Amino acid sequence: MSAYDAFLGAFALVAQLDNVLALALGVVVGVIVGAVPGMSATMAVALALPFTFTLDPIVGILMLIGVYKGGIYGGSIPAILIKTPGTPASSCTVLDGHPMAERGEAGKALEMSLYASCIADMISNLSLILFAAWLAAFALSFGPPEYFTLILFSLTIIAGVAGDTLLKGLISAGFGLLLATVGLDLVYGTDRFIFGEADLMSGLNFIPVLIGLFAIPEVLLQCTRGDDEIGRVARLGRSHVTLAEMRRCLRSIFKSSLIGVLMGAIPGIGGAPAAFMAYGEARRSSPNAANFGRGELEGVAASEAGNNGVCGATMIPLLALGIPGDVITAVILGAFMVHGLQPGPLLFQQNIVVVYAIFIGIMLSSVFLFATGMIAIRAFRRVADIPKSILLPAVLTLCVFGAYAVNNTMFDVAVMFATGLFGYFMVRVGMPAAPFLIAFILGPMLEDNFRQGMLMGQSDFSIFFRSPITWFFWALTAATVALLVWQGRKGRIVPAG
Amino acid sequence: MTRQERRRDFNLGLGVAAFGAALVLLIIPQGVVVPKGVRSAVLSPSFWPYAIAGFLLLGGILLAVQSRLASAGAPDVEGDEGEEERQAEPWLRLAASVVLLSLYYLAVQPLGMVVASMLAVLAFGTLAGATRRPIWLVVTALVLPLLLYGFFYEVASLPVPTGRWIHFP
Repeated sequence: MSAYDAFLGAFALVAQLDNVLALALGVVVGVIVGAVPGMSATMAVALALPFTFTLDPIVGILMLIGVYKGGIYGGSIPAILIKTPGTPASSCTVLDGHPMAERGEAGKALEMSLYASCIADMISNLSLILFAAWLAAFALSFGPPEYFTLILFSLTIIAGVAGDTLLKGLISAGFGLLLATVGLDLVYGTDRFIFGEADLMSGLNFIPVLIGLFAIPEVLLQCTRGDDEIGRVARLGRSHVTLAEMRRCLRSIFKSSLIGVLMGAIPGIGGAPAAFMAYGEARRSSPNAANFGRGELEGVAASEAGNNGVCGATMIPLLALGIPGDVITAVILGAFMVHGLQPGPLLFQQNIVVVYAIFIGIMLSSVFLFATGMIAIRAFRRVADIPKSILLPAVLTLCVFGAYAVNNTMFDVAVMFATGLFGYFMVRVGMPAAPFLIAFILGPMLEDNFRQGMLMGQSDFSIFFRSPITWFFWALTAATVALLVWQGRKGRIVPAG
Repeated sequence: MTRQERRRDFNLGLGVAAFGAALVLLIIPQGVVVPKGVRSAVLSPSFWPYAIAGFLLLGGILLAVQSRLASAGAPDVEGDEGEEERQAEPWLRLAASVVLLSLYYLAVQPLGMVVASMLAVLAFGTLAGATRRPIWLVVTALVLPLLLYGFFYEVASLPVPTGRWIHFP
């Protein structure tokens, strides 16, 4: 069968009403579930999986892909509006999205989040279609030493989100790294900071931690203030992204999308590190770098393009090699297998029509994402108009339900409250929360890959310099640190002059 | 930077350094189990926690020194003298919030998540200053937990605690 015939066959397969409806329904469900704090895109896909068993393979798989993409985008809505990231991937969006909402620019932040998400999604889909084989080969050259140097480089963005006090940012990151060590040791299986509590054995889930860190301090701050802000947000909440603003952010969107694609193609990285890395790069190269973290539109664009750029690319190792890149694609792999399809090189030879149908469906999902997003913005932007004295107690309830839903245990609610109190303490002492979160997410990856690398190299550190990829990331890390030192020195000299 | 902020940073630095020292001397030896026959120190389960503890210890000391040096070098910007007096009420409100959070957590098992959440919205809304909109507060308190229950229990099939006395369908 020629490629042209296969494409026509795939088009005929997708262009049926039930397929299109399944994809659209998947995106809508994904956006709604992703917008609920605590309900991650992974949970949304896992919940939708049983409904696809009785559907045709293409209908079921497209529905799951729709849920996945909608879920990742949906997480940005509460991140911007109520400082409660719906998914870990959208935690970076909080940094600039929520300050914009507080300024009364919630609509603008949500719009930029949608535009950046859709553009990144489209770029990611095109990368999947055009470069799947090449990117899969690149991803396969990553072992623990390469992961370690990549994550180490990602951690340098802590300096970018630390605000005015780098030292406090580093201390905050130290606490995040420490909290990430709780649980059973992955190499020896021994206890680390468990103290007999069985719930701690698997470590702390990052959804209760990130909800606690961002949302609960807001509730406590409102309670300690006790005043009732009326209408401030409502008057100003109708701003839109202008063409000039879009043009200004386009460079960051494209760059962040490519970062997302590269990170997504590497199994096990996921959306959150991609978003932080894209954000760090956008901040480094932006003329408005000083405004990042204070409500910079480009920051929202970069983090959303970074995390959505991952979506299509995570399908690359799945479709090309049969390796799931993350938990979501592992669930989708399960859906393939339920329907008697085995992703990998053979799928391209034996079921090329199915592969092309998935490609067409994935491209179509970007269009549905845009349409659903536009409706969701209209529906959700009113949230920013609700007085904080009503909104924040409601957010607290939402957080409790969400934290409980992660593992169906009240322990996660307790973790969320405890992290929330620590987050409040951090606000009071002027310690930024973002470095804590970045370190908490990246810390386990850093440690695991460090120790796996040391095991591979039999405790010889030269393993971390074994390939051009490791040298590349070492060079990037050194250059970033040197740049920070130079900027720090310049910052000290300029005011004195 | 005001004098209060410098004092706050100095105390924070000392606190972080003390916590780092406590980790090294007490918490890690008690909380991290190191098996016998670990081949290399860098592969030990305690290597990473010790490295982080050292980082916190050093960071705390540096912060304390930095704030002390800033006190010595910078002109003394006075903070608001009445600030501490005015901050007494927020601390009381914070204490009330922490008590309410604890009660919310404890009430879930006997009352169920829906009723506990209804009471929590009312209590936190009152504390947050929503008393000027009592109807909205009551409507939110009644409707939101029921909606969330419907979504999590009926749609997502998650076993939301329903309490000992009140059972929802």
